[in-house]
Amino acid sequence: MTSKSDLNEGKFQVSRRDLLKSAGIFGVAFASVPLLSACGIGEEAGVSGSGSKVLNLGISGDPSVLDPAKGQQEIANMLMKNTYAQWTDYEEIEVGDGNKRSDTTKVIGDALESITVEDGGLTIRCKVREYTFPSGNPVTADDFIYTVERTLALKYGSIFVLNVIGVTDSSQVKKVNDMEFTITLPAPSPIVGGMLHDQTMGVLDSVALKENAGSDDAWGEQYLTTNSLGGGAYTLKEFVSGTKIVLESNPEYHREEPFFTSVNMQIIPDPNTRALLLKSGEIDVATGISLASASRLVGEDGIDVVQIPSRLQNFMGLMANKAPFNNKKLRQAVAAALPYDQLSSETLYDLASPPTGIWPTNAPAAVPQDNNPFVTDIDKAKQLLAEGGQPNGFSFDCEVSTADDDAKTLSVAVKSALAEVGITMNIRELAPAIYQENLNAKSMQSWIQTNLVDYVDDPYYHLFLWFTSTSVLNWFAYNSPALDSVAKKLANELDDGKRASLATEAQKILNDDVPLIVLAEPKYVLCVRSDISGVLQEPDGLLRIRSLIRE
Amino acid sequence: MLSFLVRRMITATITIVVTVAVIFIITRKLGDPIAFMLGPRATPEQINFFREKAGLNDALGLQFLNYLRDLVSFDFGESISTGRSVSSEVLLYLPATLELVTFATLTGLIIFVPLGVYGASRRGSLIAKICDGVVTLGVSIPSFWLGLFLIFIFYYILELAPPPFGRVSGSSNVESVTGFLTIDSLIVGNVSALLSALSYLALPCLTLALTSCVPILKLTKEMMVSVLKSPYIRTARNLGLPEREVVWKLAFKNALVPILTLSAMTFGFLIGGSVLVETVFSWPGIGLYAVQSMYKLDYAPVLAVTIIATVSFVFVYFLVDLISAIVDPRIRAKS
Repeated sequence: MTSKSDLNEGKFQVSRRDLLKSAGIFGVAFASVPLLSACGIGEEAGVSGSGSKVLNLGISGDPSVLDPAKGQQEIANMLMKNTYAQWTDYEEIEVGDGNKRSDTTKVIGDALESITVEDGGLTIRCKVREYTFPSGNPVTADDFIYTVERTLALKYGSIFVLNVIGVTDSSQVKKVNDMEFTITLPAPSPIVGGMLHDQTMGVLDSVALKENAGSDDAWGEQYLTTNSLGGGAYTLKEFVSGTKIVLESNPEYHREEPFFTSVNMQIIPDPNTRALLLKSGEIDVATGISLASASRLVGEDGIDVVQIPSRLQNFMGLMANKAPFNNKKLRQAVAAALPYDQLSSETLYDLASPPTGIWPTNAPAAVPQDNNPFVTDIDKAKQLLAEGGQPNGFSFDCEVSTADDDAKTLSVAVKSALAEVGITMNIRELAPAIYQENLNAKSMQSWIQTNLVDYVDDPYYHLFLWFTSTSVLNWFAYNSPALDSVAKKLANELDDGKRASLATEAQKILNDDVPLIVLAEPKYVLCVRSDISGVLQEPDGLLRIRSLIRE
Repeated sequence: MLSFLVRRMITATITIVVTVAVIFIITRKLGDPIAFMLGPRATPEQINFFREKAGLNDALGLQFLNYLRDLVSFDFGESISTGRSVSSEVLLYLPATLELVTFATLTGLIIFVPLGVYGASRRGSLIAKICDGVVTLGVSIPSFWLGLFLIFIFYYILELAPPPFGRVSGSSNVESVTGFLTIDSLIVGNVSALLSALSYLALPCLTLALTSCVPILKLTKEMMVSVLKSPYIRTARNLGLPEREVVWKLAFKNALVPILTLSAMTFGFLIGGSVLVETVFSWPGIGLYAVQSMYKLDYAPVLAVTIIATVSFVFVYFLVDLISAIVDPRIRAKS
């Protein structure tokens, strides 16, 4: 007797009934999804649109911390920049299309009304601005002094800001009255105003923090892991870890109320999703977009890719304490072999400019030098290789962070360019923490990292941070007694003319030694909806929300 | 039965402890989270100060014993990068993942089990061929690609799906009770919030179902084909029993155990394995939490998520063993 299964086995039968059944089954199964999705139609994550005072911002992840003393990560720094008032600020310059940049030559007060230098630079007199924190507590000298005491006691990254201007003990900060205090420095420092603009110098509401700190939490560290006590343009209204941060404008802030009275920072880890949401209008600003993604948004309907000249630089560090780059000729050879115009216009999609030397072109102290090493000259590169004892080229490793998309892109272009002169570059991509550890340990032969900038635009600070033999960011083990000597003179020099001359001397030395290669100078790029303007480019590259408006 | 349970529990405990130990050692060998937390401007003295404070300069064995001691009271320690309690952070992120994975597995079961049964009982038919095609596609397509594709089609082009961030629309005020927004909405009777939560779940669930649950379809079909060839099935048909009864009441019951086992393993795997989908859909789950912590070499969250994923997998597997023993008298007799 034949069974149904025997009849069906081995035969592919497509009857009309089968087709209809298949269509029905699969249709019901998979159509349920869009039907279910459509339950979400009409519901909006935030109110956007013409005239809306709500700004929707896409960010890549949670801020690690909310405590200014611990600020290091970019998102945390951005949040603190907007929720805390810093001691100082900069005047602003229009750059066109309603956008602006900070004028780093003109320091003004933010939480401080004024800051004056006395006693040949050994005393800084600070006058506190009259306004209140959102709690209603008045801002007083005690809050500034407490912020300094706390920073020094906790010893987190923010201590650097105080140490670098010479403040190592809280006794150096003395109260004159409720609205005035002084800082005593061991030596004059030309960078006080700029350093006090750092987001880690956000002024804390000390009264509120002391009230809320637990008995076993002397400095309120635990309280500030989930709360914010600043007096900036915005207050932290809601923080849903992994999902969103909501800010509200602070009516007590001393400046005029910002256009956007509410800010929704949506956590959207994937940059492609952020770009898509910007295109759909779901968010108004997409941060953390690589230049490759930004270039694809240029010219898109409803989107502006704001580009403002900056001091940002993309570095290729060359480790000077080990082969092959302990050989200056080989460093110079690599510098001469790279196609800088192509790197900026093609590899970085014309969102960057070629370098004019080691010094950032847009820094006020930058002076074009005739020994700019970043000029493409293949013949010169080959000659330098021969002079360096490697006429047939050599090979080396170059490390990049997996989180740095532009560095990965640049590394491929650099590898390709160097191959043409016989130099083999092996690219090693590392997880961010491991990459950072290798940088600190100076264990690499070379590395590429993008969007590097000093938060303070000052020639002394630039040398102090990167190029002296004891610099914390001297990730290329550069050691030049001549450069150290110039930096030492700059450290306490307040005369503008002498400072300019010393800065020029430093640039000559660096251009000759080539401790690193500036691959390109990217512009400050921010992807926004076309009805958003008022982008302010700050030296630290952090987004200042209070300046944004919707047309 | 009791000895069966005891043996399984001992095995589960050993598995968890060994896994924790291995991950504990590996994470500590990868690098220094303190240097990353303090930033590039930190001095060696600062780094050492905080390493001492966090107990990271202690001997590895001592660190592990201290960790186990805290684990007994469900204290997963403190995140080095945020300073927040890992236990409280895990409680924020875990329900999102459990909700996603539960619905994804259910979606997979609801779609693929009946399809697999139907495909097996209609061998050679168009449906059977389509099932094979779905399986091939499902295991080939990367989940993040499918997720982005579905977002592009259903959200950007068709404007049917909600935006791929968050778990519910901003206007739905759902107070978190269980952390499962669908259940919390039901508890308070907020229908619009329920529908909103389901709409946000739809695309990520479909992505996970199509890429991770599709082996259930293949296994169901193969098991059913095998069982439908059995002599007792032929006898049942010859005796004139309706085909529906033969397939669902007689054959399916015998194919059920391996299907349940695979479903449970899939569920357990997805608890730690849905990170790519969580990233694409900005779904605030523990996979995403673990990956972002890993970037910062933040040991405590990584360990916590590993323990949870391992315990979940072991527990689910144990539960399946138990249910299998109940459902299948042959397993009971053997054990």
